[in-house]
Amino acid sequence: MPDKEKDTAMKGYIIKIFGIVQGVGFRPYVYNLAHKYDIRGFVNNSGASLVIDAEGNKEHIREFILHLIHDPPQLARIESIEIICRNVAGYKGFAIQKSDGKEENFRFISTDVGVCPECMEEVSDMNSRWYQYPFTNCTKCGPRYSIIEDFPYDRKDTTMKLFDMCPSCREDYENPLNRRFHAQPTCCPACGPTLSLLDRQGERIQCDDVIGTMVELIKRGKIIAMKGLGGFHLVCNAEDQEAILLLRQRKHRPHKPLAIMAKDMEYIKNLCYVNEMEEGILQSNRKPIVLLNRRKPFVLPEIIAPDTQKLGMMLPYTPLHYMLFQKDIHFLVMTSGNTSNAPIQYQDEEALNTLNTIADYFLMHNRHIHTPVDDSVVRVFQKREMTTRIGRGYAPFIVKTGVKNEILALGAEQKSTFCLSKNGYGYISQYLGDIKDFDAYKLYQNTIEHLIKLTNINPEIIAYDMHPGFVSRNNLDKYKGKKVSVQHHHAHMVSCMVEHRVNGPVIGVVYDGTGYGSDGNVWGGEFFIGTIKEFERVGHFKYVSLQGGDQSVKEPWRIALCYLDALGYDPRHYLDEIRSEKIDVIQQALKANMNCYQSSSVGRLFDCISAILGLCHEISYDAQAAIILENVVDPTIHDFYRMEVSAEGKVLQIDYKSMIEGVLLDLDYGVPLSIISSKFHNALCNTTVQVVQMLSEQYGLSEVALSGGCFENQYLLSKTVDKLRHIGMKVFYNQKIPINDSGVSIGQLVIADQTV
Amino acid sequence: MDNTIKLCHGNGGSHTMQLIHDIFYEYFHNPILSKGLDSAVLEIGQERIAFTTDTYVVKPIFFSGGDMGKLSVCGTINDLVAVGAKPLYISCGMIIEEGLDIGLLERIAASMAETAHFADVKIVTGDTKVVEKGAIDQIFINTSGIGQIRNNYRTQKIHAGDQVIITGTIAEHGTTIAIEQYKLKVKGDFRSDCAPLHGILEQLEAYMGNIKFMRDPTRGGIATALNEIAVHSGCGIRLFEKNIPIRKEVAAINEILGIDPLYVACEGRMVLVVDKEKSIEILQHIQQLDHCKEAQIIGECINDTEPYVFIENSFGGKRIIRPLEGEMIPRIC
Ligand SMILES: [Fe+3]
Ligand SMILES: [Mg+2]
Ligand SMILES: [Zn+2]
Ligand SMILES: [Zn+2]
Repeated sequence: MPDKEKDTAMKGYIIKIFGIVQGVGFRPYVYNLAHKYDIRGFVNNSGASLVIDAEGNKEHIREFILHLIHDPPQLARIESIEIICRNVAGYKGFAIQKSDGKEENFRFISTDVGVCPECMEEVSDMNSRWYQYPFTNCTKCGPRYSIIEDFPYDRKDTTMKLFDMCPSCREDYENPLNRRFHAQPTCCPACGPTLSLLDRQGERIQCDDVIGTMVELIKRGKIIAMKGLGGFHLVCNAEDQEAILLLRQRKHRPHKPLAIMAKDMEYIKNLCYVNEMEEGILQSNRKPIVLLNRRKPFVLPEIIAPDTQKLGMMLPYTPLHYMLFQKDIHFLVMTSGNTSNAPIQYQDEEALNTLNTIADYFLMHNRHIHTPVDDSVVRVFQKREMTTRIGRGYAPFIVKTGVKNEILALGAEQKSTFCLSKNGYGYISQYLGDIKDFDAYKLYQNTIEHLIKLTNINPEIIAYDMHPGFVSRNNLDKYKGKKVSVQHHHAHMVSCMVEHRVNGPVIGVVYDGTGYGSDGNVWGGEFFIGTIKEFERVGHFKYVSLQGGDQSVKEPWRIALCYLDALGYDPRHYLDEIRSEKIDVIQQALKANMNCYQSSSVGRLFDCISAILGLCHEISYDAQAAIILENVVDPTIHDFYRMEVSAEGKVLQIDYKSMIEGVLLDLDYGVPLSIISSKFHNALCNTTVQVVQMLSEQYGLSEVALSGGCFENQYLLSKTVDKLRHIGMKVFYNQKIPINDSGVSIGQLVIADQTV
Repeated sequence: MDNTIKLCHGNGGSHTMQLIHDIFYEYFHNPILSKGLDSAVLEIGQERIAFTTDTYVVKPIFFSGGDMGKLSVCGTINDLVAVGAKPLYISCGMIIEEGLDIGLLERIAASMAETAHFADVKIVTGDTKVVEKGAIDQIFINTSGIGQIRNNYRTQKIHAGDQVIITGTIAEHGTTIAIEQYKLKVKGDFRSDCAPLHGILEQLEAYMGNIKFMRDPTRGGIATALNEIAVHSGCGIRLFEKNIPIRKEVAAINEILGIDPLYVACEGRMVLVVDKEKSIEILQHIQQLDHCKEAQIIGECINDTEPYVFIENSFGGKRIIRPLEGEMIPRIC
C-alpha cells in the first residue's frame, strides 16, 4: 500500500534553464542535487539551454527547483526557466546525458574567470598533481572567452585543442562527479601548456625554475613582458622606483596611473582604504582592477600614480600570478603590454617584436590567446559597483535589452567597444582601445567578426556615430544592413536608460569631452528631454570658439587661451609658460576663424580651468587635466562660483563667464588652488541642479539620466546625484555600463532599434 | 540633410569625391572618366594623348613663391605629368570681375607665359569673359592641357612592397596661402612650392617601367592623394613619420595652428609608387633635379585586406590617416 501511495505522489516535469549554463559545472551540480532530493530522470545540454527531465515526489521537486534557482553553480547565470508538466515515465536513476546539439535561441558566452580556491589549494599542495602548475583550472575557474574559437564551448573549439589530455585528465573530464567534468581547458603538468623565459632577442633562457628566475629578475629591477590570461602585461617590482621610472620612460607613459597587483588582501589594506564591498569585488572570481583611495603615508613610489590619490589595485587571478609573489615580492606593477595607443599584445611573435624596446625579458607560455581582453576596471560608488572598463571577467557583457532585431552598433572611437543584439539581449564587447590606431582598428574589426560568429548574429541594422571623421565609418560598407547614424550624447543618455530600464521621457544631462552634435558643432555639456527613440536639446553650455582641432585637446593651455580670448582677457597673463608668439598666432587664427570649432563641451571647461590654474598644460593621457583638477578638490569647501542661465529661444544657455571671472579673481588674490577647484566643481553641480529644476518644472518630468565621461569624476557625480535627489528627482547614472565612451555602443544599438 | 552645395564640397576631400561620384560620374559615365586619374588618357589612332583641366580661384592672387597665373600653368602641367605625358599645349580661360586693374591682368599673363616657356609648353587657345562687379572675386582662371604619353607609359598594378616616394617637402603651398589669406603675422620664410614637374619624366626615362602610379597631391594634401592611391590599388599604405620631408618652420606653424600637414596642399610635388628594387635608384635620380633635392621614400604598400593609410611614429604608434573630411573636427574625447 505505501508503494501505491508513493506512485500517485510522483510527478514528472521537464525543466529548461536558459542563461550561462554550460561549461560552468551545471550538469554535475544537478546530478548531485537530484540525488539529494531523490529525483530520477536525466539532465542534458540542449543548444544553449540545460534540460532536466525530472520525476519524483512533488514536494521534493519543488525544493529541488528552488535550490537550483537560489543557489546555482557560482559561474552560472540563470536568465529564465521553463517548466512543463509531463507524464511519469518511471526512470530508475538519474543520468547525465550527452549534449544533443540542437539549434538554440540564446547564446551566452562565458567570461574568463579567476582561479578558484580549490584549484589554488591543489597548486600549493606538494602531493597534488597540480603542485606549482600555473595553468591549473576547473569548471569553476580558468580561461573562457579569451580561448574560445567557436560556439558551443567545447575543447576542440578552444586554443586548448593543441593539447591532448593525459589519461588522468581525461578521466576527470569524463567523470560527472569530478570538479573537472567537462572543464574544457583542464590540463596538468603531464599534458598541458608550459612556461618559458626568453631574453629580448627571443633567445630561450635555460633554467629549471622559470618563475623563480623571473622573480629574481624582478628583484634585480628588470621589466618583464608576461603573457597572462588575456594578453601580455609589463611587470616590474612596484617597490622599485628605478624600475618604474624605466618602465615609464620606455613606454613613453610619463604620468598615466599604473595598476598594481598585490600579494593578498592584507597588503592591499595596508596601502589603501578598502570597504567591505570593495573587498568582495577584489576577491570575486572576476578579479578586476578596483580603484581605491590611497592611505597616507603612501609606502610605494609616488610615481605609480602622480596625478591622483586613487590607485588601481587587483589580486592575483591565475596560479601563475600567485607564484610570482614569493620571496619578498609584495606588489607588482602590472600594466597592459602595449606601446603608445596600440592594443594589448597577445601573440608571441608580435609581442617580442613590439615590446622588446620596453621589456628586458619575456615570460611566455604556449596556450594561445584567441581574443585579447584587458583587465577590467571598476570602482565602488554609493555602495554600487561602477564599471569603467569592460574587460576580463566582464566581457562580453550581456545586457537584457528587449531588442529583437539583429543589430551591430559600431560605438565611439577612443574607448571603443561595439555591441551586438539578438533575441532581446545585447552583447557589449570588451574595451578595444583607441581605434584611430591601425592595430587597434584591426583588432576591433576581427573582434566584431569573431563575436558575430560566436553569437550567430547577422546584423540587419548597423548603428554608428554621426562624427564624419570616425574610423569606424570605414566599416559601414562592409555590412549589408540598414545604416542608422546616432548622435553621440543621445547614445550616452540611452546607455544609462537601458541599464536602468527607463523608457523616458527623461531629463538627460550629458557631460562629456567631444561628441559630434546634430548641428555640426562639438557638444559635451548637454541637457536633453528625450526618450530612447528621440531627443530634444533643451539646454547646453554656451558655445565657445576653440582653435586647433585635436591638438587643442592634447594641450589644455590652448583651451584656456580660447576661453580667455573669448572673454576679453589677455591669456599671456595666465599662461606665462607659453611662448608669446604661439599665443599671438592662435589669437590671430581665432579672429580669422581658422581651424576653429564651436564647443559646448564640459570636458573642455575642465581643461580650461586646469590650465588656467597651471595644473596641466599638456596631457600625456586621456582626461589628465580633469583628473588633476579633481584630485585637488577639498570636500569641506561648499563655496561655489555662479553661472548665468538664460533662455535663448526654447533652449537654455549656461554662461561660464562669471565662473571663469571668479576663478581669475581668486587666482589674483592668491586663493589656494584646492579652494578654486572646489568652487568650480560646486559651480557645475549647482548649475546642473538649477537647470534640471527649471526643466523639471517646464516639462513636468522628474526622472534624470546622467551620463558622459565627465561623470567619471567622483566628486562631481556624487555631489550632483545627492543634490538632485535632494530636490526630489529620481536620478539614474551608468553603473554596469560604462559612463564613458565605452557605453556609447549599446546606446546606439537601442536607439537604432527604435528608429527603424 | 539640406540639398545645397557647401564649401566642403570643393575642398578636394571626401565630400568632393562624393559629389563627383553621385553627379558627374553618374551622368557622364564612361570608362575613361571613371578611371579617376589626374588626366584622361585618350587613344587616338596610334597615339596616346593625355588631357586635363583645372580651374583656379586662389586668394590672394599673388603669394610668396608664385601667383594665380603660374599656378594655373603648373597645375595643368603636373596633372599631365602624373599620367606620364609630356605637356604640349595649354588653353587659358579667364573670368574677370568688372573693375579689375589691367596692370594686374598683365602681370598674371606674363607669369603664365614665363612658366609655359620654362616648361616648354605653348598656350594656344583661350577665352575671356567679364562679369559684373561682385559676381566673382577679381579673377578666376581655367586651363586645360594636352600632352603626349611618353614611351607608351601605363599605370601598373600596385603590390605589397612597392615604395612610396614624395619628390620634396610637403605642405608648403597650403601653409603659405593660409598665412597670407588670413594675414597671420608669423616669422619665417614661407613660400609656395608651386612649380612645373615636367623635368621628372625626362629624368626618369629609364625607369618608367618601374613607376606603378603617380599623383600630384594638391588639395587635401598627401593624406588624400595616398588614400586615393590606396582605394585605387586595394593595397594599404604604411608611412614612416620620420621620413616625411617637411621644412621646420612649416611643421612648426602647422603645429601651432593644430593643422595636420599631411592634409595641406602641395603644388609642385609628385607622389610616386615604384618597384622596391629600383626605389633607391629612382630616388637618387629624382634628387638630382633642382626642385626635388628633399625627395624621400616615405612609405610602402602593404598587402592588407583593406586599403588603409596609416602613419607609424618612432614609438610604434600607427595612426590611421583618413581622407580629408571637411573641417578638422576634433575626435579626441
Ligand atoms: Fe563621449
Ligand atoms: Mg586636374
Ligand atoms: Zn578551479
Ligand atoms: Zn593531464
